[in-house]
Amino acid sequence: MKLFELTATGIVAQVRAGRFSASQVLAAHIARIEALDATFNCFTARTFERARAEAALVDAKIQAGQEPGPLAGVPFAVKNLFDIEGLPTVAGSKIRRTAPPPKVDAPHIKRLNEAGAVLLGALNMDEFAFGFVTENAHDGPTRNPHDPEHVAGGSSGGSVAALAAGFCALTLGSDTNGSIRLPAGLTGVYGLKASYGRITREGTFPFVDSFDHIGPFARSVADLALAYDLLQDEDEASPVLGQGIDPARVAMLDDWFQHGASPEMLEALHIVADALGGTASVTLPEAKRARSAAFCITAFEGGQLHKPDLIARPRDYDPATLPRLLAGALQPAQTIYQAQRFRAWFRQQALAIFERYDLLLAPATPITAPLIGQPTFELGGEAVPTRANIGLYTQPISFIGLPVVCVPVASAGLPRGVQIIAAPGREALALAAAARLEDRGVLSAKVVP
Amino acid sequence: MDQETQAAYLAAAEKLLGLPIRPEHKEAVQTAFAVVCKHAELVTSFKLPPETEAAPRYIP
Repeated sequence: MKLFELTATGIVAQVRAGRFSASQVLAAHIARIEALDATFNCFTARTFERARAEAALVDAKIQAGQEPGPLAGVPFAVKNLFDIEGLPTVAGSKIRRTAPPPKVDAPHIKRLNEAGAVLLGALNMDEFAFGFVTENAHDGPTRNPHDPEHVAGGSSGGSVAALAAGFCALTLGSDTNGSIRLPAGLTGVYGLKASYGRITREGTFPFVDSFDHIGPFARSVADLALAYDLLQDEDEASPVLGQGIDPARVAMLDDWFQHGASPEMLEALHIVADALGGTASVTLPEAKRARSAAFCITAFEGGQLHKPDLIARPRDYDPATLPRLLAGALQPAQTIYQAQRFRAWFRQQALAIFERYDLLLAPATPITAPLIGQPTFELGGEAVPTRANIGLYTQPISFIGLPVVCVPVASAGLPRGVQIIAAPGREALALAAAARLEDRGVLSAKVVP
Repeated sequence: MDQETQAAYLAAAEKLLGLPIRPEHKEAVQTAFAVVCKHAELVTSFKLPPETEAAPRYIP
């Protein structure tokens, strides 16, 4: 196995044992980026000099017999909406390129650095996180390492493609309507969207206060669980990967969450359900309406956030973003008030289901990764716009802030992701289910090409 | 809301809210607003129990 193919915990084991230095691990990843990122377009800013200094510090600690940290020598990178000291936090935009650079890193970067991880840079995304494809008008599209003609998904497209391509062993992203789960599914990596509010949003550029979540991506469940535990603050929330899963309390979400899904996505769902022993199906009522409510609140809060720049600099927005922000900001108040009331009602429906079940399963997307620029895809026999509809199965879940692990189901073709959804605060159980699936060999998060 | 009503609403709202839409963006914004209206109709047509409070709550 090559160094850039190692998981984060695999790198830590090698570095701590002295088989490779953190600097050697870093050099292998930098060489990989320099060889392939011209194709995949993951990085929008590289911090290689900083990374070399951080790796040297890890190596010095090891040589001095000091504790190098649980992520010793792990190369990581972050979606470009995280504050990195000295770099403007562009959030995928042209508008913020002249913003004053932050004087400190986001706390997530600080924590991973303190654990021994090494920051390689900032990663491409949809402008202001308002999209599912990372076809950014300013920075270009991020391409899927499994097939560069296809999208990596979004809005955290650079974060997932950088992992799948072996540029990093760990990345961070954000999820407002699916931007962790959807791209993870399309590129065959693990993604965790924790419960709403569980991981701080400090030091990140906001999109929709009501729904924004921060979370990690990785190529193994152990890596994902370790990163999550470093980012969250509650002792009782720490993951225990060996905890038991009761098959009778695992169910597939039907109705909205299977409508129009392609045969390969439904097969992936059943592979996960079978491996967990979950034979039941359950309906989360009014999920279609929940998706609509999420859509309205997203456009409204996003539009209101950007109102000053929508007035002053409309021509500097991505043409795919501008009309949606303007239309969203101009919505009548009654829509938003009713959408927020509906949100409370829908949450109650989900909590009632969690009295009977611990884990709910749903595909991450209705289809595998579409082509770059693909205008429509077929959903239940009807051609629907790709950008607006590929997040159908993720939007109702982030709407009510449930924790989800998106797992990559082994596939002969393009990657397929399945969401493992838990009750609020039960990230540990979703991670334990992912670990069980990984043990059973039904998942695959490999470095390509 | 039909297309004509949507256009009239947008014309009034952009003035009322001080958020002007430039001529070259009008068509794209009207298209995006039509999509928003479809979703909004689904949301506002749902009968909620009167005791249902809006999700974000102010905590003093």
